[in-house]
Amino acid sequence: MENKTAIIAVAVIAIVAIAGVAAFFVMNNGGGNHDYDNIESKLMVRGNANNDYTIDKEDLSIIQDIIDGKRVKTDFPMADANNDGSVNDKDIALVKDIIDRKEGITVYVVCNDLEGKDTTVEVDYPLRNVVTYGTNMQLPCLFANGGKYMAGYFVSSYEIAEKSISASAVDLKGSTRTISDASWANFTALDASLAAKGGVGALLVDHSGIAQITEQRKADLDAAGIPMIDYSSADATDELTTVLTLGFLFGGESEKIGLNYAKTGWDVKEKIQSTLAKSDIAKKTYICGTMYIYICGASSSFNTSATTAGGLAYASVNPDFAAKYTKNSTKMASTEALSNYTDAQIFINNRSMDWGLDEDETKDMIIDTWDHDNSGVSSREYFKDFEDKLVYVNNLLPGGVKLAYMAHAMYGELFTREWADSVLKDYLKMGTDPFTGIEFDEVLAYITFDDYKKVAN
Amino acid sequence: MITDNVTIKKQYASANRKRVLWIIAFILISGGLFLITLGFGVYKISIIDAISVFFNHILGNPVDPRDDMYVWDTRLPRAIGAIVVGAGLSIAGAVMQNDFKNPLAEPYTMGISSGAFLGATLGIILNISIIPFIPEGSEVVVNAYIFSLIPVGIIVLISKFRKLTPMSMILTGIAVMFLFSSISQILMVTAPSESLADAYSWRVGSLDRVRWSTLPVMVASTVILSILLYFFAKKLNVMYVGDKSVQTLGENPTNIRIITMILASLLTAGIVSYTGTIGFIGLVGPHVARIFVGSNNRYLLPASAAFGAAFILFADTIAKVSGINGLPVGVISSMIGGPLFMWILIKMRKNVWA
Amino acid sequence: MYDEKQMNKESVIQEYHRQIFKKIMVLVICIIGIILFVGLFSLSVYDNITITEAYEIIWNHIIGHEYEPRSRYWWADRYIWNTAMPHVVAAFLAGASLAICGTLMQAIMGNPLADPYSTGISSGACFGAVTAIVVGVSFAGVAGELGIVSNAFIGALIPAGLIILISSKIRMTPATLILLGTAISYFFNSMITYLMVTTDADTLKSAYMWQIGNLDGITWSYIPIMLIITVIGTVFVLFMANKLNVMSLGENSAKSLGIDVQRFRTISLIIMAFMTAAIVAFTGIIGFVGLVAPHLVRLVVGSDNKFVMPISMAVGALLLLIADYAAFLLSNIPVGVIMSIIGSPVFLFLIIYHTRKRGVLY
Repeated sequence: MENKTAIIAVAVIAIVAIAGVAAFFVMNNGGGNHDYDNIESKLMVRGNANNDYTIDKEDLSIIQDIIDGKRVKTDFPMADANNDGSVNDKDIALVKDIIDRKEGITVYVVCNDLEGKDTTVEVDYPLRNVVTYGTNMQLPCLFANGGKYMAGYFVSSYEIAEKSISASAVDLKGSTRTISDASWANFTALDASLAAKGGVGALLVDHSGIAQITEQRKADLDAAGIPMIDYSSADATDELTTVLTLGFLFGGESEKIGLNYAKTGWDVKEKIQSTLAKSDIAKKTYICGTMYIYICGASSSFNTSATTAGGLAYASVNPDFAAKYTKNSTKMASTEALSNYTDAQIFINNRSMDWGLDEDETKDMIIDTWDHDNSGVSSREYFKDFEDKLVYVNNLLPGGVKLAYMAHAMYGELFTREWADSVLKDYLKMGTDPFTGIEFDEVLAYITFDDYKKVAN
Repeated sequence: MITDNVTIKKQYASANRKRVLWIIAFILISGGLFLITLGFGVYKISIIDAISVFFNHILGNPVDPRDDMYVWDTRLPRAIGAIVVGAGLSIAGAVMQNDFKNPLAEPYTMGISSGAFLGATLGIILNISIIPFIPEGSEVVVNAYIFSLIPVGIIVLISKFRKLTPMSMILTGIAVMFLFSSISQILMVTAPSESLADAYSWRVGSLDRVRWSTLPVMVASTVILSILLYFFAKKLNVMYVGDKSVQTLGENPTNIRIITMILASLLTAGIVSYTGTIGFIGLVGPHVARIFVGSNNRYLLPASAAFGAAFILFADTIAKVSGINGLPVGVISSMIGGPLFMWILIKMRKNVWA
Repeated sequence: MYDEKQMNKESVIQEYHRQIFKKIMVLVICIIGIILFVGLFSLSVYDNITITEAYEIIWNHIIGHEYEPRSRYWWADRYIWNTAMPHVVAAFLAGASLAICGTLMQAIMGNPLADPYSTGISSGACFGAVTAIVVGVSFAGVAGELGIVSNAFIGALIPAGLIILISSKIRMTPATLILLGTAISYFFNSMITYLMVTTDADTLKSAYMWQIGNLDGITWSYIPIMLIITVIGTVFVLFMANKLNVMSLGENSAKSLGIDVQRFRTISLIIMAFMTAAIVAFTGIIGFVGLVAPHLVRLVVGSDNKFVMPISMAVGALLLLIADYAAFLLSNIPVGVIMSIIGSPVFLFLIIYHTRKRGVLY
């Protein structure tokens, strides 16, 4: 090719490429800016003006006070029950309907948007025909006895714990970390098939999986008017809010269960914090782990739960450790990984274990957990400096139970094993679907080195 | 020009002495690195302290139990493993390059890497063991070992019925490799994230899994097979000249090729099933050794082994302290080995490319 | 028995017509196949939608008919237009673009086993993408999906840029070019491995799935770049078809016929780099199409690049669509995996065939 033609060729290609890239950028620069306050509340339904666990006369009187000018609207962000920007009689009317639990009304629920900021979605009350995505959302839904209201689910990983999913619920064939295009199409087909019943009532999403809800899919939801209720419920305290709110939205028996569930959890948290405040014991340092040999970082919900249970993150007393383990979870690259951190006082490892185990299965589970084979290297090798400081907590259990066991692990003198067991027993008797017919010894909640030694022989 | 017989013999002898000196030099370097690597790792201990712990343990003197645990139980087997891996893979690579008269040949040329990986993924992702009644934790190793030998087995089988040129052997290896890697890919893609991550790091190759319990087999296999291969050194030299030369000496080149290939594959499999497919050393080791001691296998094989051992010890030492708390040695060996290989190829450009 | 003179003239004309007919048939079959797949994809999920209904929905959409919200047809309409169609268009563009780049690469390298990734583009793109996925840092300073795509695009251009830079200083044979590409691959691959082993399991899975090559999640916003660059690149390449025929005679023959081989190669590399980068940035590394499609075409229509080029585009597109549909049916395995399952035996056959023919392996 001649010089001139070549130069022109290259120039044209370059210009075109840049044009194409620019087009791409422009088409993707959507999305406005939402600037909502970060709302701290127990029951995340608008109209809950005082941010407690229910909507009742107290909320009504607060709203009336705002209308009358006796209180300031900005102090009570949830007083605007119908999310229209102002607090007036319409809010009073709506809250009255909510208090009467009138069916067929529209309520306004506060949850996360795609970026994790607070937003408000319109939900039909009572909530029916939900679809769930993410274990951390699916289990709270089931704990609120919402299994019978599930129209579909993307993936189900725990046979016994999730047995209360409605028999008519459709398996949308997703996988734990992804929603494929086909899977999403299954979801929309489900909505179409439920048209007579008003379609899918809401998509319940765990925030850690939000990346799977792309702009396109959100547009689908918006166009169809399907609310997306997104909560981060991995943390023990957040989980209580989720169960409470979902129970409220499902209504009826679910509301009672949700309230009972949350209150029990809050009682545990209360007891831990007040007992620790009264005693003068120094805070224990903890390291949290997951998936056998992954160490959790500060942002991990396992860490936040352990802090709620009264512990002090080891990263806060060891800057070297803090610098190395910044991500949510980091794999231990070798068996020497913990060798310099033996001054940490406890290692809380989290593992999700289904229940309904008989005695042999329990033994196998204990051995498999403690002596887990990680590509040819046993977990025991990784924790050889920590064996008497290592405990495993069942991550599938209600948040309140996890808090109790973590508190016991760290402060055994103040929080006995019996007390932690009693918390679990309370939940077992509560009447929540996942625990129906489950006995105490069918649930493996907590494993210590002693437990392992007993069964390893 | 001096054509005196005696002078030539003297020159030849001194050249050989130089070669032996190089081999000894590499061995000494390996020895030094061996001691130094005992001091490297996450656990905080100085190099001097680590070395003294090592000697004290041997002499039976009292040692701090934690120091002893980390230096003797964790790092020492790993260092020995590094020597075995480096030496074994280099020897296997030298034999392969000789058999196929191709400077790009390496221990994995016969599809061993894809076979071993398939076996490993079956074990890691599906928890299947090919042979039942294996003790817990060894499924991956046994699977990897057996599967890595399938391609070679197929080639040997076919060669009984048809005459196979080196080219067709490689092609068969490639065919099996494609089949195996397709299956592995399907397994990887449908696996949960943690299994996928495990399988992926297995393939990268690491010395983490080397323990006192796994060493005996690795060491025995490598030592025995290396010695066996050394017995073939002379015959391999002739093969390097050409198949026809071998025939004029009354030997069957195909037989020699197949036997040495089997031995080299067993050698490789015995290492790779424990550590994963550590790359580049089998390719680069022999080349570097050849620069110092020439192509005579009687010197090349030991030199490759010595250099390989030094190389992997060096790579592992770096690997132990890179990243957050260590990296698999395979990452380091490819980072160093890649550029090293390219440099060698550029130097050899005239010989390699017709 | 024909008259000798007649046999020469008529049978030659007949043969010529037959050849043209073959070529047109191949093209037509490909086009029909492609239209068919649009329907098939729409069919795959809403399995109570028949294929005629699918086409009806497409037609209705074009004429602006709207359905009752949240009804079966309404959702199917959204799915077909927002998910299935971009997917099919992307598969078409990717297959066509990779195939024509493959043809071009094989011509300028004189090596039937070359493919668009021979110069290390794939490892550069993967490096860019993995950096964005794992570290969250991108060249353009943007986050998320956009960051991955732009990183992969720029990353893909780096190896090509390096090779072009070096080839302007040193005289390079095709063999050295590939060698250099391999060297660059080794380097980038070791960086990629480093990133992948130091991250957590979920990120590793994302990075791995990206590299394998899949067409899931493609939306209309991806299409413009792919389309524009593919079209422009194709136009250039088709203009060069004649010169390519000459190149395949060998370097010396080409030079003696007045072609500046070096410059020609450089320009081809630039065009190929952009075309491949534009595809790979969105889909990941889909292998074998660029390698296999040109050969399949050559088996049927011979080696004249004027025909091989456009037809290989159609064949490449069809090949990828078939693989994609198969991947879809097999519960959503990424298309890259299926392509390698299909491609490996074909590739092996090619190696054996060429080795027998020429007696030596490249």
